[in-house]
Amino acid sequence: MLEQVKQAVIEGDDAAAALGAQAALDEGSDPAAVLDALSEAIRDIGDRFQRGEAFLPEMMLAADAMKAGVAVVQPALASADAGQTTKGRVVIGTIQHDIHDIGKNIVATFLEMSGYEVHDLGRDVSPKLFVEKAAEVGADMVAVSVLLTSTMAAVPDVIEELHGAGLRERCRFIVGGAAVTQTWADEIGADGTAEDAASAAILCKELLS
Amino acid sequence: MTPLDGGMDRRDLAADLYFRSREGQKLSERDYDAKVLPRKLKELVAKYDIRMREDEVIPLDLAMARRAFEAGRELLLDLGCYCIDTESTMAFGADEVDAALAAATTRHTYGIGESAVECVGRELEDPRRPLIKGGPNGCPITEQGFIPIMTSIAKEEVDGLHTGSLQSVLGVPVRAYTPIEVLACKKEAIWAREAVAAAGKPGLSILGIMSGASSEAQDAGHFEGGLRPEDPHLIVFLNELKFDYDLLKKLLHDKYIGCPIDANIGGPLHGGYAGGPETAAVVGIAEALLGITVCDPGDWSWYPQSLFTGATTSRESLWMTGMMLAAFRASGHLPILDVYMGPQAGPMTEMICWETAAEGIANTVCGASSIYGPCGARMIKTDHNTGMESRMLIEVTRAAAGMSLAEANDLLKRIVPKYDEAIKAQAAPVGVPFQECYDVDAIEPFAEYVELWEAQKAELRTVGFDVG
Repeated sequence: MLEQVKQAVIEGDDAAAALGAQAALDEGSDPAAVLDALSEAIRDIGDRFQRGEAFLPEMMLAADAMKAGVAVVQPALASADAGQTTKGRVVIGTIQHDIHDIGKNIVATFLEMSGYEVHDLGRDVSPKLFVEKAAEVGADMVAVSVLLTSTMAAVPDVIEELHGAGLRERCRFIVGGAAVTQTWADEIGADGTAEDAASAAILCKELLS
Repeated sequence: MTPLDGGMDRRDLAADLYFRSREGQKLSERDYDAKVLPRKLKELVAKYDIRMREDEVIPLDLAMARRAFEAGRELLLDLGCYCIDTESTMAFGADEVDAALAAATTRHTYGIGESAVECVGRELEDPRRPLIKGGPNGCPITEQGFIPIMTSIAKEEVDGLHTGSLQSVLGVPVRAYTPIEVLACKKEAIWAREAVAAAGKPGLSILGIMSGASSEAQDAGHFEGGLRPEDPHLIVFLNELKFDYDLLKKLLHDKYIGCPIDANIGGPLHGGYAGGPETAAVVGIAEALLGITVCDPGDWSWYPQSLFTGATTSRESLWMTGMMLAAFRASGHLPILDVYMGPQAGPMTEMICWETAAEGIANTVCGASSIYGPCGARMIKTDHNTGMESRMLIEVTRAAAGMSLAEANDLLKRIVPKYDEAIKAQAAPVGVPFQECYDVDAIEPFAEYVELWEAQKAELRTVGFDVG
């Protein structure tokens, strides 16, 4: 049954992943083992993407399927006191006036696949909205994507808003995108930047551990 | 039915699209991107049997190219395009797509006076070289570097200039949707005009405006003393087969100005929603048909890059670009089709020479009308553009013009391995900025860069390509 769960995630079938996870629990599988199967499948699709053998839509659907499976397992894990199923809460979006969101979508998908609870605000997100959402969900991190150089100027405003709301101490801030350099990220007071989605997931892990 | 049904001024087409988008079929953007479009693409690739072959860097099977054209046309007719403001898809009828293609611009004059050049819909294996519109293609340029870099490009035998994005103006960082953004767009236009004048080519065609995010700011670059009415306006679609109201606003405005339009897309994106090279080629063909139908443009241009390499020169990108071009040309359609070129390596590296040779050859034999760039260092490094890259591309395309597809493919099989592994590893050298490979006062390349290119031409001769 666990193999079926894995296959459902790899095929991006959220209904099958949820049904499979439930069937595995009904058969007496350890909830942690079901969670491991879901994680293994998502690592597999992530590795295939890294090798250029899988593409963004497959990753997005696999992430949806994993979330469907985790939703089934989560109550059982909680009752078994088997630990948390999320590694942290991340609010993500593309900065105000920038409508380029493919890079952000890849990072969001990688973070979901890595076990983070991701709140994706989409594109053209105002600094104020980033912070309001971070406060609402108790975010551990805000991640901002920016492609156009002319939209970069709004990114420091997010940090300023975080300070204004008294959230900066508890909330990490990362920024990424074609226009971003490590030097600029340091200058604006970001906690980090990453060149690609996989590196962003590693950065999140480092910053939130 | 829309308020414009029953008789429409063609200039009002963008307004018609607005009305149609409001009546379109509702669909979440995530479902469109991750489910509906990819599934349809897979169906079409299987139905029309489109496969990238191991022994082909560019497509040699013209029957397959014709099938790819039919697949792209079917995609546009069945799925249509997606409006992100209304979260809906809107379909197109065969009659409007076919009529637009039949009436599409097949030749257009760019520039004025001594710099006037005719851009044409080139055939496969056409003996005429494509036009080269050199420039940074929108990548970041410092305020101080702008005029010297543009002048260095205009001094070469380019047929037009494509501007870059100013990072600051009057020392102030450009900020979207503010007056500074409009000011940057005005200065971009004025300084580009100064650059072509400094190069002794005041009539050279200039394509912009790149320093603004809003359509209003981009249009602000067209005024007396800035970009001229003959200079094209950019209309940029979103990946894949998507648009927003900002695009429609600009399209409506530009139609009433009567300027030529360069409709384009930053794609198709291999590895993104477009999937693999075969499906990406099909969506790219549909996107060109969409642009031709919606914009009735002077040009349609692709920036066919790969998510895995950030470049347009990977083997997969070369094949999908070749297939998109060949699909139109082998089917007897000669609209003006252009390609943006973005090597992974940067200026003054051996690798950018190899990449420029490969993509220059591929696009030339497959029927590109113009090539924009090349713009190295994955188009993200500030001031990493010079006239030397345009010089290389001009020499390459001149030597490749008239070559057969088979001859070019054999050559590409020897050239692409020179850089393919580095591209896959994303390990290309970024090179140096303009200021480190040019005498900025004289606006001439350092001897080191000229000698590097001469040495690389000798290397190209050893693999069978005589660049001259």
